[in-house]
Formats: sequence, structure tokens, C-alpha cells
Amino acid sequence: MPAGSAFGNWWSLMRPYYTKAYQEMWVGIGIMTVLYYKVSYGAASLNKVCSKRLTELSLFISVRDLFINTPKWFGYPIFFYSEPKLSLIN
Amino acid sequence: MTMNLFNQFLSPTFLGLPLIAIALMAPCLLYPSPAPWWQSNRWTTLQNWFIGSFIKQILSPINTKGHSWALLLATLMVFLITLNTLGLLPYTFTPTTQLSLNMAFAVPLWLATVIMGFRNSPTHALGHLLPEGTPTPLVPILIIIESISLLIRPLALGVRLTANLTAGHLLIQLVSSAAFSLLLSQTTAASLAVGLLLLLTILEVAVAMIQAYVFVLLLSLYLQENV
Repeated sequence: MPAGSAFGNWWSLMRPYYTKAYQEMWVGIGIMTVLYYKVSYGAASLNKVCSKRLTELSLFISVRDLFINTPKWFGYPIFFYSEPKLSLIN
Repeated sequence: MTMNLFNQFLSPTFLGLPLIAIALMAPCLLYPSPAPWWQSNRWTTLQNWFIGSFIKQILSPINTKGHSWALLLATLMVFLITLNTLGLLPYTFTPTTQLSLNMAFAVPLWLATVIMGFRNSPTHALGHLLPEGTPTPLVPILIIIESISLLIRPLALGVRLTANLTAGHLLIQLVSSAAFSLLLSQTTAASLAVGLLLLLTILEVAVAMIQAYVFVLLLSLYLQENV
């Protein structure tokens, strides 16, 4: 299959880089992935399993939810994908 | 008015799907792949010459251990320079104005250099936290200052690129809005604004290329320290 052989060709060329040369890179990639998850979805996921107090605490983790009560003239941070949620509880 | 100015930096979505993924694939589609035959066409030869010269210049102060980063640094340079310059076209979205993208580049790459340093020669890496010839009373405070400067590097890397590009795009939008609104009522002022816009655009093309180069250069310097 062309797609399978393309991936195989690419992997045979890039394998020494991803497995040996750039080992230290994966640590930072993992940390950034966790941070992005916390910022984007931290409050939403905690809301389902934790009490209301813990959920409110998680608002400090989720930057997006900090701007819920901010008047619209303040402006939206440029790194949001969508509009902030309008209520604390989904 | 503030809302309209910053709307250009909102990550584009279409029916809930983020279009930034397509924007990030644009550089991959623009450059020819290396040909399997011995001599390529003029465009590929020019591309290869540029990448070869750039890598020679960037890697010359780094020892052999760090040369495995050649592919990464060349790719990063071409990627950033293409994203930055494509973003100067009208009605295009510049992914490098997003702090999330620039921090996603800066943090893993900087952290990789630090971990490499501590893994290969931890004493040498720790030695970077105290400059040679420091007077003894200043040693504790200087170690703290050097540690802070080490930790602030990824933030500076990401924010520098974001701020430079965002500021440039914002200026271009401000001046072009002024020129457009003054076009019919005060033509002289509008023509001066258009002249300023032309100079600003030339500046922004230069800034786009320079900022990409600075990002990669600083990373190569951090690599040089730790290898």
C-alpha cells in the first residue's frame, strides 16, 4: 500500500533521530502536552468528578475560565480557540 | 475598536474545526522535495545551497556531538521563516502570532539542551550558573540570578517571536485602517499613510526573517553551551 510504504520509508530515515538524537525533546513535549491539557480542559474535566470547591480551585489552572466575568471591552486573549464559557457549572 | 484590532489574531475555525493545522502544513507544500537524481533543477539547487550555507554558519561553533541537531535547526528555520513571511500576505493567518505555538517550540527545545547538558557533563552544566572570576561575597546572589536567567530563556524565546510579529501586524492594520478611512476626505494624509505603510511592510518582511533567524540562533547558542 503506498501510504504504508511512505510511512515505512519516512520512519527508516527518521528513526535514529527520534529514538537516539532527540531523546531529551520528548520530556519537554510531554510537559507541554500536560500543560496545554490543563489550560484547555482542566476545569471541565474536574467539574465532573470533584466537588464545587475543587472545581472553583481548578479555575486558577484554566486560564480561559479566568475571563468569564471580564467585561467584553477588556478584549480576549489571542490564544483562545473559542469563546469562554458563560457559567461556572456546565 | 480594540476588539476589531485583535480579531485578526483569533485562531481560525470552520464549523468548530481549527484551521491552524492547515496553516501549519502550508510550508510543507511550498518547497520541492529532494530529487533522486544527481543534479536537481535551479530551484532545488538554490534551496539546497541556502540550507547548506545556513547550517554551516549555525553549526560552525558547535562541536560534533551537537551536529545531530542540524536537521532540526534547518527545518525550524525554514518553517518559521515561511510561516512569518506567508503571514504578511493580506487575509492570511500567521500561526507564529500565537504564544501557544511559540512556547511549544521554545520549551521542549530549550529543555532538551538543558537535559543534554546535565546528562553529558553535569559539572560543566552547573558551572554555567557561576561566571568565572566572581568575587566570593557575590557568589550566592549570582547563582540565583543566573538560575533565573536560565529559567526565563524559553519564555523570552517564545514571547520575543510572538510580540514582534503581533506588534508588526497590529501596526500594519492600524496604518492601513487610517489610510483607508482618510482616502476620500484627506487624500494627502492618506498618501502619507500609504507611504508609511510601504516602509512598514518592508520592515515587517525583514523582521519576519530576522526573528526566525534569532530564534534558531539562540537555540544553537544554548546547544553550544550544553554540548
